[in-house]
Amino acid sequence: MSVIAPLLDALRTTIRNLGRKPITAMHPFEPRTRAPRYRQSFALLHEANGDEACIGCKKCEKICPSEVIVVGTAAKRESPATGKKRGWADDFTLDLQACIVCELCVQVCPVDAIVMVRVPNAPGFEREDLFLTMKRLYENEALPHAPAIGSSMIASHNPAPASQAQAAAPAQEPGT
Amino acid sequence: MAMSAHATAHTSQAKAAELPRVPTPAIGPRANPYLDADSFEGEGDLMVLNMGPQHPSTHGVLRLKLWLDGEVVIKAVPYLGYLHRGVEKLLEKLSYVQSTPIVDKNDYVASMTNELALVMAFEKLEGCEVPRRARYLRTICAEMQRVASHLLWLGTFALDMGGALGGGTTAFMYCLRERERILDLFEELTGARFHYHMMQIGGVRHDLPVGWDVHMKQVAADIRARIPEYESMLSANPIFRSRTKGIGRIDARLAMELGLSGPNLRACGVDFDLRRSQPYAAYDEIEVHSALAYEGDVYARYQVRVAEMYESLRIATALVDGVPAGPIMGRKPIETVNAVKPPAGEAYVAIDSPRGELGCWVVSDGSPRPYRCKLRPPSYHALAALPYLLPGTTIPDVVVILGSLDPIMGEADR
Amino acid sequence: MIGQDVAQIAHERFGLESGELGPSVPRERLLEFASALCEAGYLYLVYISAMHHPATKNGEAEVPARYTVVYRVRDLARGLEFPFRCEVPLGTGVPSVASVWAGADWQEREAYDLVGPVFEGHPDLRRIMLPEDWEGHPLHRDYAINTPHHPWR
Repeated sequence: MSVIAPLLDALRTTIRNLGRKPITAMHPFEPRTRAPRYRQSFALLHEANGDEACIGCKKCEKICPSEVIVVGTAAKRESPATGKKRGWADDFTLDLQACIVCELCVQVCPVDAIVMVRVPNAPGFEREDLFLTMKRLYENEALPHAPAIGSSMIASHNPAPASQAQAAAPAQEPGT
Repeated sequence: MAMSAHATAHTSQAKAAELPRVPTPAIGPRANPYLDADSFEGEGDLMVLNMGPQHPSTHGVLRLKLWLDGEVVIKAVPYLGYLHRGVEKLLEKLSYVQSTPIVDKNDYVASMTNELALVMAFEKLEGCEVPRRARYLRTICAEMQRVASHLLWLGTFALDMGGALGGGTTAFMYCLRERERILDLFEELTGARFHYHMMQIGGVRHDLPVGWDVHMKQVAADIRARIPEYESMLSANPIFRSRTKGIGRIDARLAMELGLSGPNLRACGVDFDLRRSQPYAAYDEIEVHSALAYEGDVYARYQVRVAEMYESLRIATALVDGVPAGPIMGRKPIETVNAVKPPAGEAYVAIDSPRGELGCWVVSDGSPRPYRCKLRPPSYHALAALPYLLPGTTIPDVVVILGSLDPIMGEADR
Repeated sequence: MIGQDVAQIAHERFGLESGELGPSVPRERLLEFASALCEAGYLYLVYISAMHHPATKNGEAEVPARYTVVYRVRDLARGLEFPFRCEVPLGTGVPSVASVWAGADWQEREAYDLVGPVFEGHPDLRRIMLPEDWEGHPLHRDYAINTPHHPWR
């Protein structure tokens, strides 16, 4: 069996690949483009009228498979913007160290309060960086978030055909 | 550079020619893996070598205890459990809705198929129909996942043989490069790169983004064009052939009794594919030609896996054009933790994952948590063949045989 | 698809009725039944698993704790499957089918390790997932998930 021919063949493959564009990037120095749906960290949102959206219903705490969410429910009181009585959360912590990023909390949120966001760089360098307190979750609101929010996801899951238009809508959003 | 590579290759080729390279006979089911080491009759004593659990060639944390006579393995005993996480116990404590993202972590190279087996078992228990669009998306994901998994296998398998190929690392890097593009596709679709949580009971969680099909067909065409390059680097290489042909032969009867499945079984000449015999998802709408080889050795397993990549790319490309419109869920959306409450009963569902038959046997007592949930991991069954395959081979062949079975320890240990 | 040919064998030779879950074979005749299946062409062992049922009170009568060992075999040529099971009270062994299907060896070790039934006549019944000195069987229904144990070695 000839030894030279297959080796030359392999060498040809190598040379052909030398001319190809690399798909790797110098990551921390060159920002990496992430898909719009990329999910990495969490944020809590405010409503359009400035109220905190979370009503403290604990649905996310109950569904979390790794039990990383802890919600402190506050007493019902009037909203400063609308004057209607509604629920509030006075504490909300999320431990990213044990989070398995399954997005179930986003899916079950009835008021679209919690979303997943793309973080441009590594989420943190210390353990404390991975522990999201309520303050940090509201700070994350400024980051670009994934198009899937609770209501759009549930709408796209609805087997009724009317939901098709809604399902296709949140598709394009610029990457980070 | 070319000269030196040629020289090295030539000398090892000459050495390989000097060694008596008789193909090992296919091991039958009545071979005894429980060889008594005390009854060994030979010169000197046997040496006991622990290979693993931290060994780069054991593909995870597998420990092999080898009894050696010189370089020849007399007896091999695998020790598992270094990655045992009690997943089956965990599934009993979690609700049906919460279980899906947990099993992603079992076979971490092919997460999509883990979820698929589990949700299909739950759907069978609950008796809910999956809409056609969701079945198409599931099939496309499963087939692209198979390509990604086989690419990783091909790369690491070339790496296992390392310097002997004069290009082990090269093939590894190329394979991972192509796999990366599939992961990018999945990132675009589901938002995650490894642990997707794409499937859910009744359908899929994410619909196709705009332009995904074009992107996918581009990636599939590129990979389709490049697999021949890797094949030419490996299967034409005389060193690769002499190291894989006739090594680790397994008899079809033993393979069946051990429950080997997928590429490992089809390399023994057994034409059995769950995608054809029990079509699930959208496989009843497309013809699947499963690759087959007859020798049952390492080279046959390599051939089957490479041929499967072409076939998977063909299936995925053919399906993505015809994804029907319609809903992606067949039941009402899951909005609470106890949303799924199947009636009491039992179900077993098996799918053809990249590693073989991935099954899920689930028992329900009518509560929102499974009473018992057993996963049938193909890797566990493949590893059970090691005590039969390894005796009589040498240490370098141990690495090759183990790599050819494509075990993933996260799945075997659970 | 369930193999009707062996369902017939089970009915005629063993007097067992097989529903969707397969027949419940008495432990005395399990080995004989397994050999009959193997002779009928069911060479592929899909899995062996077990589950534990704690003692329950059914009205007046007390149902003792028991193990259910489940088997599933397949005829690859015809694509037929056949599940069957064997129920034993705690403390009673189940005959090992490792002499019929070679793959039963590791399957029974796993069932023994995690669930607990003892397989009689098994060539090498040791724990496989958990360390040798582990106490108890974690897939018992009454094994608490936070049971303290030795650190992993």
